[in-house]
Amino acid sequence: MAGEEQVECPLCMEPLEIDDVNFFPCTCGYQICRFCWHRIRTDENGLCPACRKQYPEDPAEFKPLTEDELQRIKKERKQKDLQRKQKAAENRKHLANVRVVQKNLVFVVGLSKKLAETETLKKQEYFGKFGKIHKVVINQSTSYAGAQGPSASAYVTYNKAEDALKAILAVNNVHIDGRTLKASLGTTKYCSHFLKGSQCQKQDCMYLHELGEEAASFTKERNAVRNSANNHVITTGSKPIPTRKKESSPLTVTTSSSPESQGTPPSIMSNHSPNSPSSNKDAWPSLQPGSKPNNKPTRTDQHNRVNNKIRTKSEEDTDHSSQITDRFNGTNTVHRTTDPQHSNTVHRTTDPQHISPPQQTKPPLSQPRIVNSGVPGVKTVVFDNPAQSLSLFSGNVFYGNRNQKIPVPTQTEVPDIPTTEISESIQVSSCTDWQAAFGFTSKSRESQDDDLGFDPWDESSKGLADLLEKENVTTNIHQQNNTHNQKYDQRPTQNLPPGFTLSHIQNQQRPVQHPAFLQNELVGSRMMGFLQQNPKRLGSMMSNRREQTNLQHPESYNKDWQDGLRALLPNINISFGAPPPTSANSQKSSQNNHKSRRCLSKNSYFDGPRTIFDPAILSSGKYSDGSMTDCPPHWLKSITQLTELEGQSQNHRLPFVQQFPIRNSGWPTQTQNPPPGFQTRPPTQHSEPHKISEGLQ
Amino acid sequence: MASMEKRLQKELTALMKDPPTGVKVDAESIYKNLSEWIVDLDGAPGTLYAGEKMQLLFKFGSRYPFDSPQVMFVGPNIPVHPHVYSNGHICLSILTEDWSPALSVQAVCLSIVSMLSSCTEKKRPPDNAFYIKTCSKNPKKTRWWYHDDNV
Repeated sequence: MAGEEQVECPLCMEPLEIDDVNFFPCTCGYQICRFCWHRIRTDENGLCPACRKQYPEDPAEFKPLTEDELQRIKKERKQKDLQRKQKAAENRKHLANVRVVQKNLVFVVGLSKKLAETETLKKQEYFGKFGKIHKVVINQSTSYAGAQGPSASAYVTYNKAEDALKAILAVNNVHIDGRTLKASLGTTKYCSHFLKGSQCQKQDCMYLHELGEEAASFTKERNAVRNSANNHVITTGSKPIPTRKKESSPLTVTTSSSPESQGTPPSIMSNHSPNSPSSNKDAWPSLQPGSKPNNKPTRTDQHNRVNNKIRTKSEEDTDHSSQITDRFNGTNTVHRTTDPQHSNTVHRTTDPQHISPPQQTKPPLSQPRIVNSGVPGVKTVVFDNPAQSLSLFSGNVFYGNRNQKIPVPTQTEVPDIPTTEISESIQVSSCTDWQAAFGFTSKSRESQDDDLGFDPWDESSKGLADLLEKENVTTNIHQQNNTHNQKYDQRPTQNLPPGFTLSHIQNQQRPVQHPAFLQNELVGSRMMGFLQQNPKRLGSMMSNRREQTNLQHPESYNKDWQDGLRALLPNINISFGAPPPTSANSQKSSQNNHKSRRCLSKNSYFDGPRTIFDPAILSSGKYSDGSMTDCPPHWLKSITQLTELEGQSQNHRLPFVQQFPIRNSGWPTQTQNPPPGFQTRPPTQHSEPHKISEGLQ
Repeated sequence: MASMEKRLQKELTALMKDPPTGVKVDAESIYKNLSEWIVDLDGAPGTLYAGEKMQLLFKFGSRYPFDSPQVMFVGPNIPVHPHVYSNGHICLSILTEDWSPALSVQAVCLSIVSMLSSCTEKKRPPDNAFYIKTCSKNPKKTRWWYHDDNV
């Protein structure tokens, strides 16, 4: 019975119970616990695992322990346990209060609630920027914040110590969301298991399991002092910290100045320019805590480059207006990542993107929403390699959309979708500040300006003019919607290839829509909100356009675009379903959804967004819905109820749908769970995107 | 299930800590999923398989160790052996009906190494061509006839 403490059942590896110790079920002497014995006899083959003899009915050898023995064993065990624990504890007790500075651990305080999420901070736009992050631990306790209001702190563990230093240099004293971030190296304590001398079972335990360097270890009390000192050392240690030179390009004049004018509190930087009210954001991206206006540009640039991989002066300027850069990013990435995708898709889809820049520069701010939802982020998401987009800027997009709280003033009706115009005119300090600070767009921004090689506004204006000429649509309708459509229209026009007809253009327009929705979809839970807000616009304008054409020659129009589509996709066998029966039912819609979804999924990297896509389509269906006035079917009513917001603007268009109930037919029926209440909507939708996507299959 | 994990964990620890010669667990492969192991085998010196490197794939069901794991050769080198089919399946009684919960990954590995070592002529099983066309992916689904007790 010696050493029974350590004995485990060889099968289940559980330590043997005290009364299992004398339990030997087989004559061979192979010992297992009674639990396993029972299992083998009832559920398994009933053979002894060792000798493969049938287990006898009664255990071969089983002497229940006497009460005395039991007591004795228990006692012994307890004692031994105790002894072991004491020993370990004594050895390491003194370590309990010791904190050890970790070279790869960044401790940040002053995070706003919004930022205080592990995943957020890990993102490339935030701490992920400085290097590979091993772990982020958020402490939601507000005690660190003091005067700054509730804010959280976080421990960011980098894989490399340099990255941690980089992060600290860059983040310390940056002003975000009304709070000033403070960053320093963090300390860790010893794992309680280590202190007890036991094995730590936690797989990713971030506490120490071995003795740390003496020099880096402090007791709690000393640590406080030390910590601040440390902090100081770190920040001041970065001596050669020139500010990056400030150049305002015409594009961003307003924005770049905005954060400053907004009155970012004077930087609290310990060292170089304590007096400089200069924007903190400057400090962040270039990893330069101090901002000195007089610095030599060259040097600055070098620094910038060193620290922020890619960053040209002009880029820097633009990065102040996050939205602008957003868009540019979208464009650029598309350029750079040559899509292995169907060339057609690429062409079509990139078109709008190329043209998108004009939107930013465009003066009319009346419909910021359209602009925004129409394009920018979306492309990013859609056509870009997901990984890249994520790492580079898609986060941006998310950021912009998701966080309505981002201080985008409410000038626009839809505050949650910040647009270039908004940021330009409104000067959102903390928002831009933060984005700029993290150098959001630094990488993708390169060459954005040069890429265009033309004045987008001019180009698109021309295109629009062309379009207008060609369209023999009653002007008043057009005008009515022109404001809405303006930007939208221009996109396709610009890249209008020779010989393209109007219908082509219109076809082309549609796809653009998807990305837009897609983008917003990525925001997930915001879908509903989005549906109610944006699609209305988009949808309405689109439906207007379609109406124009369709009303005139529905049939020919249909054919027209089909032909156009074929022309567009010469290599692809496109077939169109026969015009559907008039009964517009929800099946149809689901078919549509299904189709387009499939098309999406075709692009390999699309897997993620696929589901996301749904809502886009659903929402796109709206414009069709909107077009029925006269006697909307039952489901329509409910939809209208669901989307009251859209109601007013769309009602006048209702008749359209009735006229041309559904043109898509013969598609497989079945939707993948559209959001509740939405299934009914899409029936009437027969937007080109779907068909095009069909063609792509 | 829990007992299976616990057992596997223990086996893994033991195997990593004190591996028998020629047996090496690919811990990387297990990192994500404890129920599938890749074990590297070295042909025992002095045998036909000396110097050969082979890989075994273990798949453990939730009833392990009361139920045998799926074991087969994977990777570029499937040893040529009268009991090893070219798709990696192994005809070894302890892997199916002669399995005993007292056996372990280590025991299985050693059995296989020993099976290889005792081989006298490198050849595929006589019914190899037929078997690999008709067999299930899971070697445990095969009804093996353990006709040859010599090897």
